[in-house]
Amino acid sequence: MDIVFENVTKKIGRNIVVDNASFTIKSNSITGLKGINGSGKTMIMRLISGLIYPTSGKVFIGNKKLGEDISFPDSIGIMLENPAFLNGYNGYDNLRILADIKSIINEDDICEVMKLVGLEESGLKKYRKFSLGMKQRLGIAAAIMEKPEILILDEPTNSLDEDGVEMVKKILRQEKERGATIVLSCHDTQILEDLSDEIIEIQTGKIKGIYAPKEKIM
Amino acid sequence: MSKLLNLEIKKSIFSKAFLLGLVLLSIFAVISGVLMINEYGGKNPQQLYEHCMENGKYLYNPDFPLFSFFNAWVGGETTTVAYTLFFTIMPVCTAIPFAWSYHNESKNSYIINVATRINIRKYFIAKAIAVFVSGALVVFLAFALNILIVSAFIPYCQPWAGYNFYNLVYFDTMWSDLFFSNPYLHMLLFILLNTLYGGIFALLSYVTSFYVKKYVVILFAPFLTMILAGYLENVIYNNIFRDSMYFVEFVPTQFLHSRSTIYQVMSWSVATTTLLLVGFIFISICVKVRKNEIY
Amino acid sequence: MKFIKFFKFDIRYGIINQYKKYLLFSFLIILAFFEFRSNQISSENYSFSLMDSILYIYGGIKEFIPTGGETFKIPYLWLLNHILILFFTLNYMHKDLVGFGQQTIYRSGSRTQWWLSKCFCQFLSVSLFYVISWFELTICTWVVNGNMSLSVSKMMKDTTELGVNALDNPNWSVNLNLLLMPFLFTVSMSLLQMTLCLFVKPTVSYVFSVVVCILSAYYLNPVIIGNYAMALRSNQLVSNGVDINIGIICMVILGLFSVVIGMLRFKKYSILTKG
Repeated sequence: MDIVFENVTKKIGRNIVVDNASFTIKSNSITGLKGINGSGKTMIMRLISGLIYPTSGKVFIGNKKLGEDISFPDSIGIMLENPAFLNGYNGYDNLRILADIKSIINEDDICEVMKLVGLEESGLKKYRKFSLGMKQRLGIAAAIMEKPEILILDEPTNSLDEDGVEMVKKILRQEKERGATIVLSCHDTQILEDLSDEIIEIQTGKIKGIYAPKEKIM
Repeated sequence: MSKLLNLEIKKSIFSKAFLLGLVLLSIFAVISGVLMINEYGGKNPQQLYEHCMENGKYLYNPDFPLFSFFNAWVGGETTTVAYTLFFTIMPVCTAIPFAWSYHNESKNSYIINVATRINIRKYFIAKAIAVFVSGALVVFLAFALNILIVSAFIPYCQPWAGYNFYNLVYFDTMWSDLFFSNPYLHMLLFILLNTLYGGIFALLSYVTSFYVKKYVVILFAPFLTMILAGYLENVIYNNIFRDSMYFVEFVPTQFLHSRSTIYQVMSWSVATTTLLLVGFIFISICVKVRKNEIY
Repeated sequence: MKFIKFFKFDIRYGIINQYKKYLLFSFLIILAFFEFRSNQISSENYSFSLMDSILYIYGGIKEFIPTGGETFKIPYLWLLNHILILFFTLNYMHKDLVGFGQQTIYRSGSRTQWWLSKCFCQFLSVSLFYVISWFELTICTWVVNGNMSLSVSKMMKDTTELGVNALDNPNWSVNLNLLLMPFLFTVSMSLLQMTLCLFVKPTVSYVFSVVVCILSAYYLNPVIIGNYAMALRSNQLVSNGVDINIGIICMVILGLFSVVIGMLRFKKYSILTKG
């Protein structure tokens, strides 16, 4: 399903964090968000995920307006900044608790996704003992485990080693093949250009340009 | 060290948190002042004097010393609910400005930035001083505001020892002689004591953050401790020492008020409580500083 | 169905995992009971009932009338009971929203369900505090061979200087007053406190709750709802007391109002804080 932003502005206090943004993210594609720190990439992701609503303008997920027709997209997986989990539980249990909400996946799916992100064994540790890289992997696992139609990943390669980065690339390609609409931000321009079908460049909350890698459309 | 101290004090005072703590406490200080001014009713002493006289003779005692400024400032009045709220909420308002800062800075690893630049012991000590200053300043400014408001409407009148029952300042109460001989000094001493305790309450929150990692517990620990201490004091006096005629106040939020509220306020009880609290804070900081670990 | 799953999660993580709070509270109740018991022994009259201990802990104080020479004495026990429960139930919603709750809320697809689950969890949490309290008092009364009846004894009437006949014959409305009203007050205040956390910081919200409690103790006024939580201020026991029927209506309305306002606010609430 397409994600459409129509003249979206978001103010937090007196700061305009997203300024009159209009764009369309096509379904079954990988869209990269590119911009310096504080440019508004995470805010755009929060607007897509329904965690925040626009001060003005509209966000459509398919034909449904976010904040009116639906509170959140029907099928979405999110990994924003530092994902939070329950300290007293191990990686598997954390995913089980989350999976229990929709109950659309089973134990095998959880084990499979833990294996995919490389936490097959270390996922048995309590979350409070996870390293930063392990926390990041668990965050990715939580986002993809239910095979959502929309996948939002905010700097998924942060804190990951080389194998981890390759793992993320592999996951993103697989998810795209499955038919997911993926919105991704990353500071590594090479990764963005390798993976994305389209890149949206953001500067101080404004859309500076939208282009396919290696050519500008706008 | 002086640069670090300067930085910490600036962080503690020039912040929205300081403003929030000050505003919260000042609300009760202002309400107390307004209610007392309302009760006073703008009585003009001259009019009061004339009102009491008929044909050159007194009909009744105008009781000037009962309606003076010294019974109307937040530390001296006993009639409105605002003074109760002021002293009860004080531990929270003094903790809000900066007492939580160590908890925040260790949580977001800012402390690592500091540790690589200066001896971490100096950091803990500088922060303790800044916490004390912010807590003390909140109390002092709230008192100053109340005094400014009340003194603009209610006149000063030397307290008279014959009214000790109404003033609730009894002969063996702490500094009672000063109240009747030099009420300005009496008031100033109580303001200084309250300012000191503003810093102490803030430091109690600060040292709580060494042991506890939850923000709300750190902020409200001194407040809840005072309420619990008040209850335990009642339990002890009513059950263990019930046959005694002489009950002394040990709970700070009760003896910081310059009038005896429940039990007698004695210099030795105030000194004991202060020493105990300061000792606990000092030992906690020493232990923390000695450990010199960040995790 | 998702609401039930939320609720189960909240029960597990917001109540069962927080067992230390209930333990701490239960110590306070035991201490309060033994203080009450010690007072009864001192009056050389051992005939006290279960309802006496409930009245002692939850009855509050009689009307305070400021006169020269008399100052307001904070009802520490009554205050501690309420502010401790309010403190223990202060932060769960806010903490969850900042942390793990962000993971659960978008999966549910419904902000309303998440909010309602939190409200029910809050209600259940406060209920559990009161159930623990009543259970402990019952056990303690039984252990010390007290009278298990639900009527206030003569000695208690004399001690509290009530001087009314309402407690001579036990009736359901007096017991309702003693048992239900403090509970309703704490529930409605905790819901209000939770809703206020969506508008202001939890610190300010809790200070507001404490101020309401202290104002309730100071002023006998039907507008200040804490008065309904004090049996010693009800019109069943004192002539100028507050009407508990109005109190029940007010507190239920306050609780529902808080839930609805919170729901409306949360529908548009920006879930910004990082996980």
